[in-house]
Amino acid sequence: MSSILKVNALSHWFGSNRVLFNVNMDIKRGQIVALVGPSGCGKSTLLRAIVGTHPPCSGNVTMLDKEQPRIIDTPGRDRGIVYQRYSLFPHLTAQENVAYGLMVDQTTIASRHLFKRREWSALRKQHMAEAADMLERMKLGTALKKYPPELSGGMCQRVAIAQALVMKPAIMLLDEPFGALDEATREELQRILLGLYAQNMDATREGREPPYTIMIVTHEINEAIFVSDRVLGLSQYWNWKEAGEPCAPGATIVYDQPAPIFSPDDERDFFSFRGQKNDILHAVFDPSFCQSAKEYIQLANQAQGGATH
Amino acid sequence: MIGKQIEKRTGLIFSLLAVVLLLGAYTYLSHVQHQKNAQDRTIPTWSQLWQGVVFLCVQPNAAQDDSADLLAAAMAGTDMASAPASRKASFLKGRILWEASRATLGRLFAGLSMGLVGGVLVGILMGCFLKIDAAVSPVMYFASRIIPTAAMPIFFKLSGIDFEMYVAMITFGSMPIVTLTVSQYVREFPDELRFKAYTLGASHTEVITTAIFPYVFPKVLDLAVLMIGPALVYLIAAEQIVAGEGFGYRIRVLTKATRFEAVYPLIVVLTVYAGIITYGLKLLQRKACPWYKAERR
Ligand SMILES: Nc1ncnc2c1ncn2[C@@H]1O[C@H](COP(=O)(O)OP(=O)(O)OP(=O)(O)O)[C@@H](O)[C@H]1O
Ligand SMILES: [Mg+2]
Repeated sequence: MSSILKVNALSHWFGSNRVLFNVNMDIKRGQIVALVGPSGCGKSTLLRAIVGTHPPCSGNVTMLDKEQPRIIDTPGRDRGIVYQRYSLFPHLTAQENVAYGLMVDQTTIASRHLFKRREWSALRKQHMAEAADMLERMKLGTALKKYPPELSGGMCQRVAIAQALVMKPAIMLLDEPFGALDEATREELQRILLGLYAQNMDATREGREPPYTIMIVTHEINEAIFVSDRVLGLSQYWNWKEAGEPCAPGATIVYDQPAPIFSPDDERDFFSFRGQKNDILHAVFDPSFCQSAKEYIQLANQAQGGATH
Repeated sequence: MIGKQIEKRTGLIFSLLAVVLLLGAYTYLSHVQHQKNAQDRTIPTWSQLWQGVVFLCVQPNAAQDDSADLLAAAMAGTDMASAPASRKASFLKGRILWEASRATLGRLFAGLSMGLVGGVLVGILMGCFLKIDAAVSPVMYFASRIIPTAAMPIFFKLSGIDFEMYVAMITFGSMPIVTLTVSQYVREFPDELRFKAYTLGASHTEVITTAIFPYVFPKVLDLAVLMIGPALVYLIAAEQIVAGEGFGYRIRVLTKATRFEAVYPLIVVLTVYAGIITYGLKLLQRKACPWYKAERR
């Protein structure tokens, strides 16, 4: 599998508050990676560095989706994003929200309003049809003309996913996308992601490139294991003394393991992955773990071994 | 219970009741006053008020600068025969109410739209670019604290007493506040949406024109509604001092002649104009930004 995004020795700090320390990761095409970690450990900060809105203090993020690797320092249309709050433009309907990216990506203000008005109106129809199609696939065919405030939280997030997917980004990034939703709605949306993963597997089987690469930040460990095929743990609780650091340097990747793969119709049986859940709780979320020395290093070595082979 | 909901009809009945009570009280007051002095014009009777309305609507506009002439004509009760009444336009032309409305509303529209357009442009730039904000905001803060009516003589001196002066005064009176408020609105535009627009491929200009501006626009309309009041205050005050036409001028002249039966209708009409503009702006907001009400739900 080819890499699509690499984070290289990324560190980030806000004044004296050291948040991220030497974060390395390598995301392969077609993976759904879940990033978990204690609250405030810097997950959103890492994601912002990947999106490019807040470049890191040191290290870099490199996109490898095209032939030339690119170091990321600004947001770009190769990385789609779904946020928890303010996920949609309030002044556009669901359909217009999805068509928005197609519009600003394929046309310019001048071509829309001055030079190519006729072409634009034809193109607009095409965009709206494409957006409607995408929303149908998200089972939102009845909500095309609704404005975001008229949609439920779950519907908004589905529109937001459609909005990102319609651009066919190299990687889609989700920052706690389902954090504000009730459990039943959450599960529905998790199954949407599993549906995308199933399409990836179909593509691989047919020898095509898997179309969707996704990184999802979540604080729900069950969700992480259920939707992803690989779980990354980011935590400030690690044995930095052994690494020769004089004081706590910030969070780094302390856990990197494959996760069981589910198909969209599978039973969601949390009990079946409680073993992995306990591992993650221990390695990532347990503050006392960093005192208990060597275990982390082994785990990290294992993890790195797992990622590079 | 406090805050208990009532039916729409009940609400309407209560509102009407208050209006009827007020009108009744006025009628009584005016009646008492006229028993003391039958010639009284400070609290005119309803029939006097009607005469005032007729005066405003059909009285041809006499020499503008010579208020004594005008008053003499008014006292004499010039009738319609002297007015060219063949066509509607020419009928309106020269009527006090028509000319005053044209003058005042023209100045108001020009001044307020310049203040709003300028304020929105500068405000958006300030909200988007911190360097511009750093450069402009101290000036705007200071300017927003200047009391335009206090600075009025300077305006008279600098830009004469023509149309441009009123427009400049309203513009300067409203633009700093509009600028500061709009820049605040722009800063309230969620970061997430700004970032998202960029990830979807928008250019800087597109982020402003297709995301930030539509988000700010309905709030600007609300702001416009709020600015009508202060703008009218500046305008009427200036008109009362130096104008040769307009509501402020008419009110001053007619008050001097204690023709309150015509002053009151003028004030009411002015209020109604403000109401109509407010309604128009709200209507525009509803039609152009159907999402806005839904958002505030
Ligand atoms: N703009 C900023 N300025 C200063 N400190 C910041 C800023 N943004 C984040 N931080 C700090 O960086 C740390 C990590 O924040 P971040 O939001 O990335 O955590 P998180 O893992 O996403 O947390 P959560 O699970 O609550 O979303 C926190 O200690 C926070 O206080
Ligand atoms: Mg976060």
